[in-house]
Amino acid sequence: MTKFAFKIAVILSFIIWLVVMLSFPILKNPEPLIIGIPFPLFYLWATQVILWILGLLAVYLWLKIGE
Amino acid sequence: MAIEAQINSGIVLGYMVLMIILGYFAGRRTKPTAEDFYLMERKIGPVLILFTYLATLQSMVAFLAATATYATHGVAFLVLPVSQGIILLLLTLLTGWKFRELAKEHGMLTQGDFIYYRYGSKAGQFITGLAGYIFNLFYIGTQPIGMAYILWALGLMDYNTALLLVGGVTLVYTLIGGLRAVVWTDFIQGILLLLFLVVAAFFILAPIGGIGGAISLAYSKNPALFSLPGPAKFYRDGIWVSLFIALPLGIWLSPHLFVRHYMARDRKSLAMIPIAVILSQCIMWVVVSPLLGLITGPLLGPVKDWRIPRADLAIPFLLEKFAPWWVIGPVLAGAMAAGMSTVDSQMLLSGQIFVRDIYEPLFKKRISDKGAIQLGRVCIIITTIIAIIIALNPPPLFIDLMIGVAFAGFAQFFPGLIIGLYWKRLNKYGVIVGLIAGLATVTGIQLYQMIYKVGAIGYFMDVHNGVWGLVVNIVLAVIVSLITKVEQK
Repeated sequence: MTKFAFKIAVILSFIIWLVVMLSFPILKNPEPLIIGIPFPLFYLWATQVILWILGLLAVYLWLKIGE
Repeated sequence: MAIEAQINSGIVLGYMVLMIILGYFAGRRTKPTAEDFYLMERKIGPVLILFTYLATLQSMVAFLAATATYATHGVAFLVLPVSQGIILLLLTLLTGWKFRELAKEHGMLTQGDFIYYRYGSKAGQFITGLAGYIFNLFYIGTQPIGMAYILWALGLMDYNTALLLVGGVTLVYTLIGGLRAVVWTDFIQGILLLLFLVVAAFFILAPIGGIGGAISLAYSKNPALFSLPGPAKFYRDGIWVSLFIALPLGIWLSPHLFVRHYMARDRKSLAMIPIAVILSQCIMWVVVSPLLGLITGPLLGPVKDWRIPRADLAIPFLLEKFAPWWVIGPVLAGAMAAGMSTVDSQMLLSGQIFVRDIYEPLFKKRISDKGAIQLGRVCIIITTIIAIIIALNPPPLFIDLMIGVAFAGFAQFFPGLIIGLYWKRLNKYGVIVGLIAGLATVTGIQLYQMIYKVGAIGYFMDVHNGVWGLVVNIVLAVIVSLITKVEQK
């Protein structure tokens, strides 16, 4: 189960990373502002936070696998 | 010199003295074996490995040049952290432990050692070592530039004196204490660089209304800072996508970072490497540096009107303008920490590579532990002199040299190290032909661009040179491996 969860976290992280890589067409306009933050900055910050959370989860699961 | 400048100089010099004292005590505990001098007997625990990886990963680029680049290109430069953070983490989790286990079992010190173990080729080890050494030089050369510039820009000393001081201090403690000195100083330096970048940001951002105020100010002055390809129209589609491939590989495979996997005491220690990536990215690259960069233009005006017209000096000049004088000394110590913590690892590694991957395969003999340390020290001194010579004539923006040239070279180790870990059919002929072709492609394109002044440093036809090299490298490595047959381990 832990191994499976680790694989899911890894695959999901990779998919989000790919999505960010291919997101350049939607980052060419600074508008709209979302809570006062221009969209490209908001989008890149938000996806990065999601990736950090997934990354931390992957580290935790990787350590559990090794126990 | 005013009393304020004297006190700030004193703080910076005090920090330098502290580093030498740490190096001295580390040297007293270092055993006369290559494994202890270069790898601390592979027994580095979680806390020390967290800070040594963080401090080594985050260099002067993170402290100075990142802010300058955000000022020039806006949020488009977020491509640097978003392209590589999660991939560095995944590479460590998926392959780091295998490398660490193999390194421990077979006494590996370098990436070249793995090439010899995996493919049984001294030639492959030699080429890997030579390439690692040469591209490492470009990287090392960028670090003293930033450190010397800030000391000079704030009137604490002239550029050449600053260069000799930072190069000399780093050299002394690295020579005395080897990796133990590097890791101990990295612990202090890691804390300093994170803490004082945040302190600098606080004093600069507070008067303009914090994070919200900074974004509003920058957006009102120049909305182009908030979209691709950025105000200078640099981060075009091809450059954006190719950086997602070249940067994570170039950074993770940088020899001075890669060998940190060999040093981990256990799985818990190794798991601190991804944590170091997240922690440093979160604080430095994704929040503080972009915010400081975005407000640099509105607050300081065009770079050409600055007292010294170099974009790299954005943070020192912002501090000079907005922070109380007593903040400048500690923040400068933080900046020194960022540079020294990277360059010390690279200096040590240059000795490690020279002994194990260049000298031993070339002269076909194994050196004693004592000889390996002595020869390594000589190489470290020579490397430092070369780095200082490079820094005496600095490029316009040193981040270009690092991202464009050094990482393009390091990325070429991908087939030999990563593909070879999983694909049994990959053999020494494939790896050697692919590596030489990849390195030749990267170097050839770079030389062509420099001679004919075509495009930006490191990019050809809007694609990072590292990607051109990788395509040639991987295709040839696979084809040659499929058409040749070799008995392998």
